[in-house]
Amino acid sequence: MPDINLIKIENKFNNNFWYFLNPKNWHKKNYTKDNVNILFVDDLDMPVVDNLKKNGYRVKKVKDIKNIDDADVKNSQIIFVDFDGVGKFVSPLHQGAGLVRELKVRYEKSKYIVLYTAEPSMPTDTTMNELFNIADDRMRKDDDVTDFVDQIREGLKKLK
Amino acid sequence: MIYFQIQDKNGQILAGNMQGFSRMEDLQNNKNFSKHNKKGVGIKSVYLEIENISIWIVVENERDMLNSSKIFKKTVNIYKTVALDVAKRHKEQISAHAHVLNTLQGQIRQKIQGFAEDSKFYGDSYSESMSKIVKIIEDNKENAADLICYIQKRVIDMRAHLLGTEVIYLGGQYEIKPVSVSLKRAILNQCTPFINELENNKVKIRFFFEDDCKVLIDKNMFSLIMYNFFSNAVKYTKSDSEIRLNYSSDAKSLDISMISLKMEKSEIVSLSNNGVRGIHAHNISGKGIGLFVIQQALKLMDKNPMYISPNHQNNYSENNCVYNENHFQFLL
Repeated sequence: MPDINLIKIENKFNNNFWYFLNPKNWHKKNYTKDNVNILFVDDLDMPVVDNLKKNGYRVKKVKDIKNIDDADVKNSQIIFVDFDGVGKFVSPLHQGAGLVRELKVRYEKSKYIVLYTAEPSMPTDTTMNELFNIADDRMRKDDDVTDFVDQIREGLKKLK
Repeated sequence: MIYFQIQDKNGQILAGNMQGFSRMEDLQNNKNFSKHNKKGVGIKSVYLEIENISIWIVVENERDMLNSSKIFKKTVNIYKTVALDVAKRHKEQISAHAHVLNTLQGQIRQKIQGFAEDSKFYGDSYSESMSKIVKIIEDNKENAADLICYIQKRVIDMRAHLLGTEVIYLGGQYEIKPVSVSLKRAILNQCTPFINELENNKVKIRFFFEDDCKVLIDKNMFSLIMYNFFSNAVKYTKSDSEIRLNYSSDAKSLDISMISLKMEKSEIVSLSNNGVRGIHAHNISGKGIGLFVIQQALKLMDKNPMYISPNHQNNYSENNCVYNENHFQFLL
């Protein structure tokens, strides 16, 4: 018979308890909706940016990134990158997908990066397909605001 | 005679001349077929599937090809290369148009969601939704006005894109209807989607002709031309500069000059082809369709092609791009 009191004590050790027990996490910042910086890299108008701002998120949009060490990039934890028309300075050939690769190589897991596209289908070209998969996730540019919010929530979990 | 048919994996015919082959129906169920004599009378039919496409090639009454398997094989290989290229180009074109439409509908939908979140209307009847929206508008009049202006801009974008697609693919079937049009108003209408961006880049539009100047022209085609022109101008014009428009009613000539991305004299003719981008445009996004649509629309109106004259005397550099004064002329 299990000791009922022991079960109660075990239940007190939730995820946060084990998280803080690991020294690796002692200096990690815990990101929430209120302190996470979100960056959109898109050369076109993106109304979802204003919608997220209205919902209380800290969002910034830039047309392109000239250097992956730009302050906008460094200060952001979640980055949404358009597949088309961006990344011309970092990866002229593979554009947004090439930019995501460079960002992932430089920042690894410290940034959650989403590649989005208005293309009707994902590229079948092998090289481009591999680049697509480097991003933490992929989504469609015309997705609903709620889909972008879900993606941010997923990012917050992964950044922990 | 050589007949061929290229189909995608869904059976859609991408290119071919097989309709001219009289025995097409007979060979439908046996596309790998050969029957000919040494004089070269007869047919040889081959059906291949490569990647996501199929190619059907029929050679009829071609002595050299029917009697030499080497020549036949070479011909098939050429058709294979061409077919793959046709399929790739076809996919790219469909993709480019779908991309624009997806972007525009996404922008409109997200903008509407920002104004009135659709989740608040789930399960409501039409009249219930209407009353809720009326209330939202009453409480947010400025945002409502902003939404309408935004949708108006995107509708101009969508209309220009759809008309551009018609011009590219159905060119010959468009009926031209010239009407008297206020030149300045017609141009300003098409600038609307780009006004904010031009203002942000400190680019001013200056007219050097009277407000009441009128021209006899097909309104839709002229709008399409101006839309594509300004769509390019907003991307390629140097910041803090002017776009100057002049119209000479005697010569019926609309002249536009601006400091924009450098165009090499050697590339000017090819820039008017579908999908061709400027040598110096690699840092700026684009699909190379705008100039092609402009020239196609002018052709439909039976007008001269747009004349481009770059002046390489003064070069300006900005953001790793080289700019110089460019002149564009339309004979209306």
